[in-house]
Amino acid sequence: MDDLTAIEKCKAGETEAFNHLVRKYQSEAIGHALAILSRREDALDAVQRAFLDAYEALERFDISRRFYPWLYTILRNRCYKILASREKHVAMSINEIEILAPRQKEAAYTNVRLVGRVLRELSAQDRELLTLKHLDGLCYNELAEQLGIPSGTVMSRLYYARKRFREKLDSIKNQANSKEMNDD
Amino acid sequence: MTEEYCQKVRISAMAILDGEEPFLSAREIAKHAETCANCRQELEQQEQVLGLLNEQRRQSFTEDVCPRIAAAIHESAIRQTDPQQFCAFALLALILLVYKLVEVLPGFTAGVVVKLVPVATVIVFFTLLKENPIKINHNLRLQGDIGK
Repeated sequence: MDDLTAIEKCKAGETEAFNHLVRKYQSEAIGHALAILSRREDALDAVQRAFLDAYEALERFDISRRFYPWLYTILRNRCYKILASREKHVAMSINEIEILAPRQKEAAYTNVRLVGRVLRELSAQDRELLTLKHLDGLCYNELAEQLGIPSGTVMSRLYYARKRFREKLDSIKNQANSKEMNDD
Repeated sequence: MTEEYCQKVRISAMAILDGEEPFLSAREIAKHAETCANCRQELEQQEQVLGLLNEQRRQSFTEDVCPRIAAAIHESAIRQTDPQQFCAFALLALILLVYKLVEVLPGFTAGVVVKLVPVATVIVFFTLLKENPIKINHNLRLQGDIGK
């Protein structure tokens, strides 16, 4: 069943058809929510609420658009709401993120850990943008559509996000080097 | 060269590395980099970071949120079509209407306590229904706004 058929069936009252959309996009949505929220339980909560919001707003869905970018807009709104309420109440543990897939080779695994640590230390906005660009391979126009900003803004945000990534990376490497020197 | 131009060069170089349309051509970037050591260094660093980021893969997730979502949809549908709740609101409307009719009767003079009856009635109703009357529904949008 394609997305459009599933949406039409949902609109006609077949709620089971929505399961098709959930099954198809849940893994992607969890990954995206986790990139923003860095915590599995919050990500699952955001995904659940976003799918529910989408279901309730399905009547107003423009069928000329693709389903996932529309759902993503709803999902990121949910994520940032959760993030805002969490920042007020809870100090986040940065060890709960699992955005990157582990690797077999030692050298690649070291890089995964390093990149993972740098991503954890960046802001949610930078992390979101960098993961959409590099883990999902979205082009500037797709990023603009997904984030609801002009592609010129995507360029400058991406530039500064990568700059901050590089600065964090250098700082972590310097810390590690100075620790090694102290140990010696 | 101004700092602004350097910035334009760096962003354009990034766009070229990403395979996108840059503000400046590759020739303009190369020409600038010949004379600007800072930009030259920056472009080298950009390539390194890009290589590091591009080799990463997203973690895949196996959680199935379908049962949770199906349950939430079911719950939401029940809430929306709850006939008891409809009856309760209809009764509230009727009580308030009767109060209004009594209030406009000629010769009726209401004291402060009587004037507070509608407010008290509404509070009692919402308390009994366990509903928050000033809850803001963030999901409400104008037609066509969702997803923009």
